[in-house]
Amino acid sequence: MTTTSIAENLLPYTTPRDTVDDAVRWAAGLTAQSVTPLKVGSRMTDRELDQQLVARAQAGDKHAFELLVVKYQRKLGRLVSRLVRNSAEAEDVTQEAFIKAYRALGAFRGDSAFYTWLYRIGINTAKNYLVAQGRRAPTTTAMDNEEAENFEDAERLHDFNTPEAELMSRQIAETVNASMEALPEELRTAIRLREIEGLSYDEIASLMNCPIGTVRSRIFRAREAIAERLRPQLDISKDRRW
Amino acid sequence: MNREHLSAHVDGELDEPQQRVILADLRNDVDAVQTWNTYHMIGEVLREKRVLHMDVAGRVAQALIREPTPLVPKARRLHASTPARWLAVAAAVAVVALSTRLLQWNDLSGSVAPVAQNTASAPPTQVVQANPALNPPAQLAQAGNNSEAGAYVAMHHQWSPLSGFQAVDYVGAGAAR
Repeated sequence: MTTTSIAENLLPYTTPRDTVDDAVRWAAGLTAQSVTPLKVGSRMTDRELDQQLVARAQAGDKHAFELLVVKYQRKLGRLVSRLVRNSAEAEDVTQEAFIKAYRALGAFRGDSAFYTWLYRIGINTAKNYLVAQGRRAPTTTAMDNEEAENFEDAERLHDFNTPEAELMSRQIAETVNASMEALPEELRTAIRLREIEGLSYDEIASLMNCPIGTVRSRIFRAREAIAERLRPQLDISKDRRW
Repeated sequence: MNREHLSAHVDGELDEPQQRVILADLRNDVDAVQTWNTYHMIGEVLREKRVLHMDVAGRVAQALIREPTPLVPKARRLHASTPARWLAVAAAVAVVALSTRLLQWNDLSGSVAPVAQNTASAPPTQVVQANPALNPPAQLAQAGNNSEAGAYVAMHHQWSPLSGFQAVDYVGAGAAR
């Protein structure tokens, strides 16, 4: 994350600044003095959080693995959808990849991030599926490249989704964006800094000049406000497991 | 369920005890799992602009019921530079050094004591060479003055891990008195 991007994100939402340059200098000062070194406290990285769940699953806690499935099903689904023909196939292959990952969990030593490991299993499962179907598996190294994890495939998704799934995806995105716009300024800034810029609570507290507890509360309230609007669309009923 | 804690857990900002509580909630509370899923989805939309609407978690959970648990034995790691490791190494070296020293001291005292007694008067204690090559068991038995215990000790002395060191036949010494 660059200093400029911090400043640009903060400009509409925080203390009014005369110019962009002022904001950049202000953010740069914060970055130099407090943001960069603030890798303190009990914060766990995403990788560490996943590793914690993996360790529990390896110790026999299936539910811990199910949480990883909930967390990564959409991301892995996007990956698989780049290889197979339609959403039904993508769901089948994604499910198969998760089950293969569970069976191989004993061999996972945490040398790489869990998703990197899962990514490879997903690619191999999709390729094997294509071969079994008598279809040609992609030979391009692009799919084997870990950089492909961040592949921008919004347009591809547009072509791939069924009309219903496409509508649902668009509605979810619109609801989230509309909810963001409706949020009070301090909540919107807090969740943007966290989710888009990836800052820790400590770093956000420094940037927004407020206690960490306030940051935690603002991010929570922002999420709840968005989730409240999303829940009717997500068809959440009591008899469903998730 | 404390949803604010759940939100902080998604961000990895909870301390250990709070994490345990949240993980227990996620195990037992369907609503907690759904909320956790929704929070992650919100983050994905904000970062990636769009989200693939896919929900295979229920199907995977059903399939996992039939799967055996992949148990992994807990690996104990020794960190190379932990103070505890160096302390353990130092303690082991100290024990070895002390043991060697004590054995050497026993060796010396076993040899010197009768010499001191010899200079005073008749020796009440007989010194026995424990090395079977130097003193065969038969000789040891004789040295025990027909004492059954002395014979027993002599018979088994060749198997002693201390063979090569000198020992004092106290039973024989007592009988001599």
